[in-house]
Amino acid sequence: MFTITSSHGIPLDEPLVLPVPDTAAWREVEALGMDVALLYHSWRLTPEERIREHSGALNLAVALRESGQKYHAGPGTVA
Amino acid sequence: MPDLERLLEHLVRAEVEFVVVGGYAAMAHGSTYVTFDVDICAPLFGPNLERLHTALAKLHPCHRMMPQELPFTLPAVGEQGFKNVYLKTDLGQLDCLGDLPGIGDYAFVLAHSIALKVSFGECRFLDCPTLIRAKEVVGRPKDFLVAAQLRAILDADSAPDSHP
Repeated sequence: MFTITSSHGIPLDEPLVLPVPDTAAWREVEALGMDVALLYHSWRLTPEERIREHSGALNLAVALRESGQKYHAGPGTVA
Repeated sequence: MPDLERLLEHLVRAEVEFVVVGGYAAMAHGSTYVTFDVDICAPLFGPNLERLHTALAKLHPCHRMMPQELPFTLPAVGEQGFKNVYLKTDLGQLDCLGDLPGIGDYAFVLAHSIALKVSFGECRFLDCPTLIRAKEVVGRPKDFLVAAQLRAILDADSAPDSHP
């Protein structure tokens, strides 16, 4: 079991226990500042479900990037 | 808007022989990083190159690494195929690699791939251990982060009774 006691540097009210092995690899992911709970969520999905979620995230990222480009294109530009 | 899933579907339906590598493969294994393109390893010569060309024909493929972004056309008769092809298509970017630097040629990549069922059928992806090595070989900071996630996924996969 891998126990998370804080998120974004803030202690959690209650530790979150993930049913994955408490190994050096999972500790490294946490030490690198990555969201361990998000990685656990992704690991539980099937490849097809991951691809579907990725498509949604990619669409959002592209839309945000385009919106940001419009915003920074010049003063008075409506994003 | 890119649609990488449909881009791969075009390749599968045209029976192109390939293995998905890179960030898209990492995502399929469970990495949380979003990737904006698809990298594949494939024989980039002969009939497979022709199938790749046919698969992409309606997607306006062009060489995105060339300043003029020339259309993707087959090599002239008598010429060899490509070592690598970096394409821009209507459905997103597709990077086609003849081999994986520091890892091996297409035959090695194929031997270290797994078939995954996805929405449009079965598709081959580089296996997790080899993908970790590939990410470590490339060695950019973002590759180290993805490799760290994949090592954790590998641990979880191999833990008894842990897989959902």
